Amino acid sequence: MSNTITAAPVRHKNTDTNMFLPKMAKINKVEVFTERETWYEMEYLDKSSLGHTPGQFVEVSVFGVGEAPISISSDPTVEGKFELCIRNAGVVTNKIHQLKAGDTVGIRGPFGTGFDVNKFKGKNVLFVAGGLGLAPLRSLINYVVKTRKEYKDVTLLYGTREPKEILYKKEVEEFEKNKDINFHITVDRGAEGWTKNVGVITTLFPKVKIDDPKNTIVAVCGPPIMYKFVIMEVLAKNIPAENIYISLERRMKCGVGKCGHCQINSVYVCCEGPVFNYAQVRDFKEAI
Amino acid sequence: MHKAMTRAELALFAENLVKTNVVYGVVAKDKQFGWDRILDHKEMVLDYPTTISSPKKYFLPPTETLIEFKLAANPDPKFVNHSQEAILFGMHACDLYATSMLDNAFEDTNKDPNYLEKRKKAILIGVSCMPDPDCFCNKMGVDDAVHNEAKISKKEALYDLFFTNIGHKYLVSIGTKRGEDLLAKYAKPAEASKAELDQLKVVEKKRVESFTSEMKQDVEQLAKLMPKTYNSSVWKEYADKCFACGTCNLVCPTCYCFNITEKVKLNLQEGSREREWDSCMLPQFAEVAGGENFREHVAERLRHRLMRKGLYIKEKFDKSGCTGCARCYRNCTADISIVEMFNRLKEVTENE
Repeated sequence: MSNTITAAPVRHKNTDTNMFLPKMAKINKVEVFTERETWYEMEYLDKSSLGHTPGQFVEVSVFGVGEAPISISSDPTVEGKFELCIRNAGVVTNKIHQLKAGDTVGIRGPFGTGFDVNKFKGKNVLFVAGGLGLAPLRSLINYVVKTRKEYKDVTLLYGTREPKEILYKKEVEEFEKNKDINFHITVDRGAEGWTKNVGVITTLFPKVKIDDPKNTIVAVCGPPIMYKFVIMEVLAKNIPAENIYISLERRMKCGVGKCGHCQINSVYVCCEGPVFNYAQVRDFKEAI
Repeated sequence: MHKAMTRAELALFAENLVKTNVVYGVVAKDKQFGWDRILDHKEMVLDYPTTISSPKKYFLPPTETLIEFKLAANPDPKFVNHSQEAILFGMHACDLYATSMLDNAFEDTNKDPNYLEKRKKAILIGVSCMPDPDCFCNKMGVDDAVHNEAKISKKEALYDLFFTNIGHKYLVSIGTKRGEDLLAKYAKPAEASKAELDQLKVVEKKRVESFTSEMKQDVEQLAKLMPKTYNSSVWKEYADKCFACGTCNLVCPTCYCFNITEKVKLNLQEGSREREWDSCMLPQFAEVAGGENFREHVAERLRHRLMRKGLYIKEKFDKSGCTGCARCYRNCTADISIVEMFNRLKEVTENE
């Protein structure tokens, strides 16, 4: 296990002739998180590492059903295995939800450009995760928590619709206890026994103190509707647009910049994204 | 470098090619023309108006298998790449240009093995044409890229061989060594005479003067205009007429977006993953799993398509994304003209 990862994220460059050929992986562990989301730990049958950077994604194949793009949610420095948190949202993901430990899937990737962790080093870090948006951010969050002393203040805001939709419950409890990070959680609708914040994620912003906005880097991931409101709050704290990173959801069919489904204006999200600098995409009308 | 061939010599050349090679060419299909495998050279036509669909269907077939697998505990997926040595005989300038643009797209960043292998094994033989009233390839830089010798010498030719009908004979321009070798192997053409080369100039001048399309802008002007049209009211204007059927994407020689689908054989033991032509004009094209659709309205999809043709591809590969072949107009179910749309965008943007 090493603590170093690729300095700057690079576009996927396939070096062989098999960019459409998935590599077989085995599901090691399965944990049902919520009604809609299930967590998987997988490893390649040949024991090789996935070799991803935080924010990248893979195409998961269930042969005979199809492929779906899924963001990688595990710490990139952990070698030999990787984790995915998958929402049952379509034909392929529905089939994946029926799989058990020991079953195999096909994996292509990792694809896309993730977060450049070097941009976060030495800065205050603010994570804003909405719903399943925690999954792609978790790769980066875990890396930052592991290398905690390299950053100044670390804040994590997490919101879901209801308490029963909270993902990574054990880790969320650890975040709450962890004195090295400022963790705030909210739900849109409370439930019996819920004592924490109720309201959309922007209601957490008054709790966030940003001392040095110019030296604060923000990473946002959530449903499209969330971005506009969260970015308004972030900008209102005088954090420059260039310091905001967002991860955009698209239906990448090929993952290699050809099929066109993920295109926003002239940009292929599967290659140049899914992580974008906000200043880079704010004028793209179709972005969010 | 030009050689000259009589019609009889050209027919013999074609006959020799067909005997020992896989040749694709243009044949009459009902009242129109289309690309097909040529088994008898007499069926192949060289003097024809724009085909219904372009030869892109050879390099990027409407459906193409990418992998095959078993429906078993070990699916054992295998990469599939079918390609063969082939000759495409009779490509018009617009389709040669489109092919070179597709080469860029499939070579960019991640090389597409299926496309590139078919492309590498194909010999492209072009043939001159006269524009019909809708053609505007001259405005899109296509004419220059194929016929302007001064410009061709800077880069590699878009064809291996190119035949121009000068009346009593055909003149052959040799684009590549591969083309030269093919010609030497299957024909014995004479050098073009001074008089024949003069006749070639007359014919080319006549072609250039024959364009009657009302397209007002060239490829550079179009690329400058398009960013200003993003919020134009024109998109809605045409969206109200457009059926969003996607026919324009299918017949367009530079549209290469695709969908990936899964096919299972009737024995339920084997399957394949295929790519098939897709259309950015169809409503579900930019939809994601949760139901969010990033180009929900026809106007947004129409804009995306025209931005690709007039701007995005130009920015990315420094080539026109539109070849001016006008197939999209000829086949449009709502009779929308891309020339009229580009002109209207210019007119309205300049007055807005």
